[in-house]
Amino acid sequence: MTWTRRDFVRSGSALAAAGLIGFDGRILTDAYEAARAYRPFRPLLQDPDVRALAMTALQAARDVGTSYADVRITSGIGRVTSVSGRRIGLRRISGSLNFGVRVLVGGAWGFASSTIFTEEEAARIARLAARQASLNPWGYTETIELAPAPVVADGEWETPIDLDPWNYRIQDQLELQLEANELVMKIAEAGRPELQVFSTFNFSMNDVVFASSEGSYTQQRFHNFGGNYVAQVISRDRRNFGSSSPESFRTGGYGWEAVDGIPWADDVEQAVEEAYMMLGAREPDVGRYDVVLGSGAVSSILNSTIVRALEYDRVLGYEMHGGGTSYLGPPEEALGQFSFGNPMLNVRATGSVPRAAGMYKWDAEGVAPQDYQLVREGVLVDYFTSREFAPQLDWWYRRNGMPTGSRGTAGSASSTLTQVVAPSIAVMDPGEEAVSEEDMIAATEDGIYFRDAGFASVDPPMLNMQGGGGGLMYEIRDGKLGDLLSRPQYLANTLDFWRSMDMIGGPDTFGYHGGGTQKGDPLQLIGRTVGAPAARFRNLNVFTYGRR
Amino acid sequence: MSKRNTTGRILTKEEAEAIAQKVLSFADPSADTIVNVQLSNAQNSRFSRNEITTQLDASLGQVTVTSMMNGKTAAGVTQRFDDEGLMEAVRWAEDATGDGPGEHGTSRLIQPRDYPTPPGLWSEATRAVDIEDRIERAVSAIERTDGFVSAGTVDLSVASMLVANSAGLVGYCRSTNGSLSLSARTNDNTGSGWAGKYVYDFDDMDGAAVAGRATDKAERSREPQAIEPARYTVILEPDAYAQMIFFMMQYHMDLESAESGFNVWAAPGGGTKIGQQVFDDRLSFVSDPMDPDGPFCPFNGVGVPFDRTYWVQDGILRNLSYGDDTAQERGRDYPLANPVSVRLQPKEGTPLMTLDEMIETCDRGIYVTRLTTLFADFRRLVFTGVTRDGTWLVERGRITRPIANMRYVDSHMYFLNNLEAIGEPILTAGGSFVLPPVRSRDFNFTAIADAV
Repeated sequence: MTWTRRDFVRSGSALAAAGLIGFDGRILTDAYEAARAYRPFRPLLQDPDVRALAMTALQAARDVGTSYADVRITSGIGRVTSVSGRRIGLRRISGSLNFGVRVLVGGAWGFASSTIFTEEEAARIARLAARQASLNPWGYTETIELAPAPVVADGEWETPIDLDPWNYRIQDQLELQLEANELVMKIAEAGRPELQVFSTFNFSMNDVVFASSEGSYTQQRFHNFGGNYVAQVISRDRRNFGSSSPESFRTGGYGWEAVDGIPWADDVEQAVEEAYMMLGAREPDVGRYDVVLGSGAVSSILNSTIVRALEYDRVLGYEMHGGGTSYLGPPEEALGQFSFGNPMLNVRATGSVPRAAGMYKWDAEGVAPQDYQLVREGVLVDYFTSREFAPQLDWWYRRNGMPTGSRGTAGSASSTLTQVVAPSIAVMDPGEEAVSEEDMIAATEDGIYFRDAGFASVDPPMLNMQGGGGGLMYEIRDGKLGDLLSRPQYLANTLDFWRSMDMIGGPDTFGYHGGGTQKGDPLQLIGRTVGAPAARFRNLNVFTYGRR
Repeated sequence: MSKRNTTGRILTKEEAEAIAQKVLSFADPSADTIVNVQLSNAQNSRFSRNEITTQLDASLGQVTVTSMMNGKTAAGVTQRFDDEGLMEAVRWAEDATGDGPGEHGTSRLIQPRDYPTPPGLWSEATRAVDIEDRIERAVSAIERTDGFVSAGTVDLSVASMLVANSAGLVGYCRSTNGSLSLSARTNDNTGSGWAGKYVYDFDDMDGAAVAGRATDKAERSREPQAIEPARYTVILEPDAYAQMIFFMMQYHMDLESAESGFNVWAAPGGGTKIGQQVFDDRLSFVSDPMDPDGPFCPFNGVGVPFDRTYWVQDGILRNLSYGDDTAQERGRDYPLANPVSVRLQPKEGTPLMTLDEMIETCDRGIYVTRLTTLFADFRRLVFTGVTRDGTWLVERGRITRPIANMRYVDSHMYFLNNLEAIGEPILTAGGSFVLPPVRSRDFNFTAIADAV
């Protein structure tokens, strides 16, 4: 056995962290050069320049009469590689270094951001943010007052991971990726030439500092693994298409352990079989069916029809022209009164889910996310808010003996964009009884089973949905799975849909999946994990768009 | 310095070239190196409930270093313009090509050449807009929506991009644009209207006029009534289907992907549909950086020139984009790059109709202002979504009443083959696409989505 570079790097990673090993494994005497070679990245958490820049911006904001200011600074690095079969399509390492300043002047917001990392620029940007705010003619008519929030003077947090991906090189990443693709290539070469495999591995680490004029100063290091690994096949006549990912392939708050040793290797054959199975799927007969949705399918519908509708700024109409409004309003008529008509529906927010994508200790306003209920037994009881909007719910919080304040759900896609209301991690609770997907299928006479995560298209107020599947979808006949189906879609009014839910899976059916929100201008895409159990929905309108 | 100084900063050609030359001096001389230097400034005033809610001014710089060595290509990207940051990006790119596994072809460098300067892409007037001007424009739009509930945004951007490479190529491009778009609702919350405009020269932006179109639509769509979902003739404003064209240009124009069967241009038995009729023969899809209605930078991020390209000519698929391998096989000097910017041009001699004329000559149909657009089937380019912000029934040559929104499942792959009438192409509100209004048969409405 040869001594591979990866083994060398692993054994040497402690040395590497100390900055003593160069790129090609040479021991370097210049520690500075070695550190930069191995951590080609400005490590913010130790950088006194960062605090100085933040303080300069806050002081400049104070000097021009702002009543509140916050600064966010991001220093990040990302490493993305994509491989199609055995061919490398992309190898890229991207660094980011930028900051944004948000201020309140006379009760109006201003925001400015830059990539020029100097104290002069920080002061200019702070003044520019203030100038925009001071010129807003509406600033004095309806003054923004922020809900009080605890000052976090010296907060530090890092996404918990097992293995630091930045102790490995892009070559290590490519080696593993080629090995992973080889698992499918071997099957292809054993008589399935139409089989293809695509993979993308994307590691990122972002250091984000938040500082406010109220004295908060937090530093967070976010790790994320994104990407995909897909086995894909197309029929000879090119009419049918199948693709599948190994069930154990995971993205989210992971380090190198996401790919080390190819954790999904045992599921590759299954994925290939599923891709081939999909080639034989038939289109469903149009009609009304009971629909059993796996956890991934419920999560995507939940995210599109409830989670985003709970964002308070949407409820107010802030997204009327863009991302869409919400049916969960107006707040004074909806809170405590709006009901989905289904006591099985419980949705809550949480700040802490191991491995979740988008998990944070403090939000984009320096507030810790709370664990709290949003929908209790089908009734709306709270929203995702921010420090700006929480005071508007003071009447509701007082009535219910809850403190008035942000629940820690302000977010943004980048420090160069202003904060918006963004969900934390939303969870639909599973049922208490151990109901399995098999139980739901067995209890269904004439239905369709969507096993995997799908997609949902909703209208701008999120009241009319079309749900579709990805992955495997089966007909259900007399309690048993029948034919595999191609492209079934279900159509429903959001309220009818949730009211029709009559079985809910137990804890064993629960899973976390991709979710998040899209809003703002420029458009911000903010990824957040969403969790849900499997569930059954009665008498949905199912159709397929067929072919012409 | 005047009091009303503008905030948007870009790099001049000289400033950007100095950064690029520095990067090239840091690079391994045995590598082929490409440098891309960008600095842009984006500004906006965003409003909802008839007042400005947030304002933004973002100056973003980025340097991308592409290094080709040892038969491998890799890129390093940084937002830093200081020496340390530039060196870091060079090192990231070069270390990724230095050793390690994998087949990955390199491309030939683009040889030094002159790029044309697209007329109208840069406007000093837009460059000179200051915060006061921008806010005034938003205020005039908001004031015009008095009596309605409005939400929208005024956006401005200035951008510079320079590409240089180790063969001596230098290309510089700068651009400006502005846009204003908004939704207005009637106070009883039953009528909604949208309008938007994209300009290169901000002097051409009349906020009040755009707002007037939105309120007019809102007023006329008050108290809509549902009609049975079915196949109807539709009159589509260009903005209604711009997103579909974007998705096609963004994800479906690659030759290799067509040849391997994975995009919409794969032919059923193998090969591609190049040479086949794919749209109505009155239509061509042409990308041209010199397009007077929709100019764009004449080269891509690594300097590949965007020549005037017919993707579809008189309804026949002519070209799909390809990389340098294919370019070399075809004896071409450089790849065929896709600018994701296109004009849908009616054939010369085709009688063009205005939207009003399309209504006047329509016996029964639906007028659509705007559609939401999501893939229902990525590979077949089939979309689903709903009508939005102004949908009416047309009967015997006139708009007779507003109708409740409906869900559709359809595609321009179908409705641009069912054409009844075409209008004059105009720049759509998102920029990049110059599209005509169209009237088409048998648009597939599948359900009522009767929320506003």
